[in-house]
Amino acid sequence: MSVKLSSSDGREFEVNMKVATQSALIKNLLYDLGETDEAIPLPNVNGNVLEKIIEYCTHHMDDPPALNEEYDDLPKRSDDIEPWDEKFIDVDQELLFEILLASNYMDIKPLLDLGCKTVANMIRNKSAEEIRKMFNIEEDFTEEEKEQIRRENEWAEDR
Amino acid sequence: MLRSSTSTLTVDKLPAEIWIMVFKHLCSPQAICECSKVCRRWHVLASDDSIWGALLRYACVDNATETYKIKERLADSTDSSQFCKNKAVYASWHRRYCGFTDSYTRMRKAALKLEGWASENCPPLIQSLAPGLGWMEEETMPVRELLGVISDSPAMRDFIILYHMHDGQRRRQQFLPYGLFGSYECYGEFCSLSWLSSRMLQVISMGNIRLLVFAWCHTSSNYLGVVIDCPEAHRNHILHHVVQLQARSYRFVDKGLFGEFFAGYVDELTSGCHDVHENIISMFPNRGPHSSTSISRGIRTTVSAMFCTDETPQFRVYRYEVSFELLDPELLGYSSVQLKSRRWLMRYSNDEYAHSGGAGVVGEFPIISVEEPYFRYCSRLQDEENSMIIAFEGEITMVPGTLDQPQGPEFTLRIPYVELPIPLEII
Repeated sequence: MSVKLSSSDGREFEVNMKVATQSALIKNLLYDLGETDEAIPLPNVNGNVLEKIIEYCTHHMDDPPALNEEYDDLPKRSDDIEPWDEKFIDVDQELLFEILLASNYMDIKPLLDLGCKTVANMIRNKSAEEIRKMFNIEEDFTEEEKEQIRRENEWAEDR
Repeated sequence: MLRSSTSTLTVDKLPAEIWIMVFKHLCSPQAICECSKVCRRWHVLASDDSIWGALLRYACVDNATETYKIKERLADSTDSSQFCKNKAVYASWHRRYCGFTDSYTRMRKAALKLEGWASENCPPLIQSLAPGLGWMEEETMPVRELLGVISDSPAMRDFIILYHMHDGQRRRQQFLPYGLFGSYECYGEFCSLSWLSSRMLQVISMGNIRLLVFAWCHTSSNYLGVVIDCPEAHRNHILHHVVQLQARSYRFVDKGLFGEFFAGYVDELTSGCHDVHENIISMFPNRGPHSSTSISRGIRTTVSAMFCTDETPQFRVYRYEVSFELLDPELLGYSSVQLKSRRWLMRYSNDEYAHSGGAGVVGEFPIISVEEPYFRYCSRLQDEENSMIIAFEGEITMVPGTLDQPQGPEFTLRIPYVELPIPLEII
């Protein structure tokens, strides 16, 4: 059985049900709509990104459902990325952020986790200056704020 | 230039909830603090209460106590929208336990797990645990006094922190049988290893090794201690390790670094590796490298061996425990059986072996029945002249019904092969 998805720029994709329902958003929609021949519109996701997301969901369509973690908000490990996933997520920054946005919107938890882990690994062990450079962020603190924030975080430097 | 302006847009496009998820994945307070120095938006995001709440839980911080410590500062700043309570609590905790935070997390997890287990399985143990020593800022600073005895090394911080959670067990008469580190009874000798309070800690010397004894039994002089000083050549192997020993013989069993030993022991308790009968924890683990189990005719036979009290300097002496539990009377086919005799096969290091045996066990002929499905006993075995015992196995002969009134043909229960935990020697 298959489902049609349509992207913000009007591209249509026909995918296996098992692929589409990894998105909790689509799963709930299908549950509400029942069987449908109409393409499900995804107005927040453009064709390129949707193609990438379908690639991910196709590779993972036979994965067992993720275990419900006891404490959902505990920080998780970031060094346990599978080789296929690592290769999949090795994309430029813009696409990475698009994937994050789309997986958040489509509610695909493992992909969202993968994206967060990847960004976290980019940030880890970098100084604030290096992070600004990497993401091209402008420093917008006043001198006073800078001093206050330095004092506020002083404790973290003593191990 | 055009390219970089689009990337700036991309970073800003990600909503707060995604950044907060990313920061949680960093899982490191240092890295998250660094993020808060990036720009105004990140400063707000990286101070989010949910991130620091997760870090507090992750580090197993006693939130109520730590919040109380900064209650005045919290009261001052309630109107400030900039103020993030959880980050302030985390920072205060981190400052208070500077250098000890990893130990704090490891040992508090173990202590909570122990308390949870004991309140279910061994209430007298909970009652015997003394309140912890005050931390550094208290007037008397008992922990700092403890630090005077022990050199402050990373490996000993777990030890010190644990005394901050609980100051050992109270040594009152009513608590003596409930030693945290287990008990056994062998030919009327009762041994229970209780955890000593900081006042009772003692440094003893054995040859050129110095030990800080933190658990001992008042009847059998069986000890657990941490090696706090030893010759240079052994430093990598046993310094700050827990050893079980008997002072007279200079022999010991290495149980690893203190923190790992304690957390591992609590894991053993909570996963049921030590039987608890009438609130007394068995010192013998019922699984692991020096025990084995067989099930036949609906009866489970478990044997477990341990090196402990060593009466003679010439021979290594071991204690072993054998337990029988009737699991399935239908498989057995009788409502009771009585133990008739035992046969042992001892193996020695020079490839020799020896048989021994006799009627009953420890002078008893126990009956295992539907009404009394469990029996265990403890006995000893030791080296022979010129040969070192390394392992043993055996057979128990059982009679259906009773010895006086047999109800069927006798059968044997196999006691599977067990290797002995051969101690190291201080030379």
